[in-house]
Amino acid sequence: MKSIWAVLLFAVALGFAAPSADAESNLSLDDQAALQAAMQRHIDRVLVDGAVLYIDRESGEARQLHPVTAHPMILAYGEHFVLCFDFRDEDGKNVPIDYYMARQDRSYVVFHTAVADRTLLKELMGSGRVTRLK
Amino acid sequence: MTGSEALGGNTRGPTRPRWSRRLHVRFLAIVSITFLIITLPSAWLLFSYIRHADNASLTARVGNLAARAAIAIDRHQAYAKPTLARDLLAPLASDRAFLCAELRNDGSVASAIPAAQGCVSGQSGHYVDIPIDDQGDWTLRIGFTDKELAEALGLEVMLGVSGILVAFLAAVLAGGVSYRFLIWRPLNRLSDTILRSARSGKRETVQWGSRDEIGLVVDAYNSLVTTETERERQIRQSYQRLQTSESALAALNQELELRVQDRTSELETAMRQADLANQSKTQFLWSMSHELRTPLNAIIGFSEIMSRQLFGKIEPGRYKEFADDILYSGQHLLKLINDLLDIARIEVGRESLVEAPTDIASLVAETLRVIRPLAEEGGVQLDSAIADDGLTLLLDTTKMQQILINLLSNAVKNTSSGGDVRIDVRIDPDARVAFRISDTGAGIPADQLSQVLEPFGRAEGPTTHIHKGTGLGLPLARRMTELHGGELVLDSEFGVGTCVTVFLPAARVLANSGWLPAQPSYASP
Repeated sequence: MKSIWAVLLFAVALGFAAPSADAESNLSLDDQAALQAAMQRHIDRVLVDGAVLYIDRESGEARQLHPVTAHPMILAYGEHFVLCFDFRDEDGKNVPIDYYMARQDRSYVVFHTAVADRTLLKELMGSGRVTRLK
Repeated sequence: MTGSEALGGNTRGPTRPRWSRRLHVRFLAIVSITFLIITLPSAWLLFSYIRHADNASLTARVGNLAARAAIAIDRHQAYAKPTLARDLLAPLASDRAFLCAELRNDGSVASAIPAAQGCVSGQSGHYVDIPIDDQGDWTLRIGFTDKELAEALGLEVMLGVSGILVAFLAAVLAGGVSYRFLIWRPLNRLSDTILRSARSGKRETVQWGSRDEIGLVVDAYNSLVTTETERERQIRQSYQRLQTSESALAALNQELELRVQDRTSELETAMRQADLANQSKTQFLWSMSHELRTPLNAIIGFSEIMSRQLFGKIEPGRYKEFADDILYSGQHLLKLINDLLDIARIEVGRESLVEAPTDIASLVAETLRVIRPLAEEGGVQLDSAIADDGLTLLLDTTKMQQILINLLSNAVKNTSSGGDVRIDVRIDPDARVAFRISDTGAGIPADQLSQVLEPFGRAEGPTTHIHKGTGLGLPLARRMTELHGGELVLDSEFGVGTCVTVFLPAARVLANSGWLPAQPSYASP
C-alpha cells in the first residue's frame, strides 16, 4: 500500500514539475517587445506603397503583400529568433512571412525572410533546432 | 476488512479496523488522488500556457504599437516638435499596459508621456528602447507593465482552483455516495448475515437484487450457503445413520456378549462336569486297580509257587508251562495296574514326593544294574557318562529311579541287538540338571512324538510288536518329572534313534563339586 502512495505522490510531483519547467522563460518581456518592434520596423522599411513586394515563383510576377497583424508567438532558433507576421495579398488571402532575427548590440535585425514558405520552419522545428521560447 | 475476514472464528463480531484500513477511506483516497493527479497538473499547465500566451500578446502588442509610434515620429520628422511627438505617442496611452514613453536624443528627453514626467526612475515595469532614425541618435523608450495580466491570471487561477475544488468535492461526494449505495450497503448486509449465521449457527442467505459484481458475490455466497446447508443435511443424515448403526452394533455386541457369557458359562459347566467325570473316572480306575491288585497278588503268589514247584514237581509238565504263563501275565497285569495307580494318584493330586538328598552317581549306577540284564538279553550295549561323585539332588529317589528305569527299559526294548543305549547326566547352561537317555533304536516318526507321551499311546514301529509294553512308562515318567518341577523332552529321528531328556530345576541341586555346565548337544526346551 505504501508503494502505491509513493507512486501517486511522484506522479503528482511530476505533473507540477513538467508545466512549470516549460513555463520558465529565458527571454524577458522587454526583449520580446523589442523583437516585435524590430520586426515592425523592418517591415516598415521594406514597404513599397504600403506593401511588401515579393516574386511569385509560379507566375514569376512581383506581387504585393499588405501587412495586417503580428503573431505574438516568438520561436527560439539557437541564439536567434523566429517571428511571424500575417500579410494579405491582392486576393485577400492571408500570407505569412517568417522573419529570422538576430541580436545586434541592443537591438535586433532580420537576417532571413521566408515568404509564404513554411517548409524551412517545419524542417527546423522537426529537427529540434527551432523551439518555443522557454 | 470485511465481516468474514474479521470473524476469524470469533462469533463476537468484527473489530473495527483502523481508519486508514477502512475500505471507504481507501476508496475515497484513490478517487481523490486520481482526481488531483489529473486536474492539478492540467490546471497548472493551462495557467502556464495562459500566462505565456498573455505575455506574448502583451509584448507583441506593445512592441508593434511602439514600433508604429517610432515610425510615425520618424516619418513626420517630429524630433524637434514635442507637441507633434506627444500626439504621435498619445495612442500608446490607450493601452492599459502602457506606463510611459520618452523620445530621447543622446540621453536627453525631448518629449514624454506623461508630459513632464516620462519614465520615472525606479518605477516597476518593463522598458524597451527602439531606435528611430537610421543614425541611431533618436530612440523611443517605452515602459509597460504586466500587472494587469498578473491580476487577470490571479483571478483566473482563483476561479480555476475554485472550480477544481468544487469538482473535487463533487467527485468525492459522488464517490462516497456511490460507494455507500453500490458497495457498502450490500457488503454490510452480507457481513451482518454472516455474523448472524456465525452466532446462531443457522446459515442464512442474503437478499440482494442487484446484478452487478457485488450481486455476483452475494449470489456466490448464497450458492455456498445452499451447498453447505445441503452438505450439512447430508452429514446430519449420515450421522443419524451412523448413530443407528452404532446402536445396532452396540445391541449386537451386547447380544454377542450375552451369548459369549452363556457359552462361557456352558463351557465352564461342561469343564466342571468333565473334570468331575475325569476325577470320577480316575477315582473309579484307582479303586478298580486297587481292588484288582488284591486278588492279583494271590494269583501271582500261587502261580509263582506252582512255577517254582515249591511243593513238588507238577505233572504233566504242561501244567508248569501254564503256571509260568499265569505268573508272567499276572506280573504284567500287576505292572500295568501299578502304573495306572501311579498316574491316577498323580492326576487326582494324591501323589506327593518323599524327598531326600540323592547321590546321582549312585542312583544311575543302581538303575543300570537293574536294566543291564534286560540289555544283555537284547544284545544292547549300555553306556553311561556319569561323574562318580559330587552331584547331590533333593529328589524322591524311588520315583526318580522309576523314571530312569522306565526310560532306559523303553530305550533298550526299542533298540535292536548290537545297538547302543547311553545315559548322560550333566548340568545345562541354565544350571538345570539334565538326564539324557539316548538310543540307536528305530526312532519315532515325528507325527507320533506327542502321541507317545499320552497313556497307551504307543508308537507304531518295527519293534513294537516284539516288545509290547504297557504304554504307560513314558507318560508316567513325564508326570513324575513334572511332579519334581521338571520337564521331559522327547526328541527322535525315525530310523536313527531317540533321545529323552529329563530336566530338573537348579533349585534341586544340593551339592555340585567338580561338575561343570556342559555344552548342549541335545534337545533343549
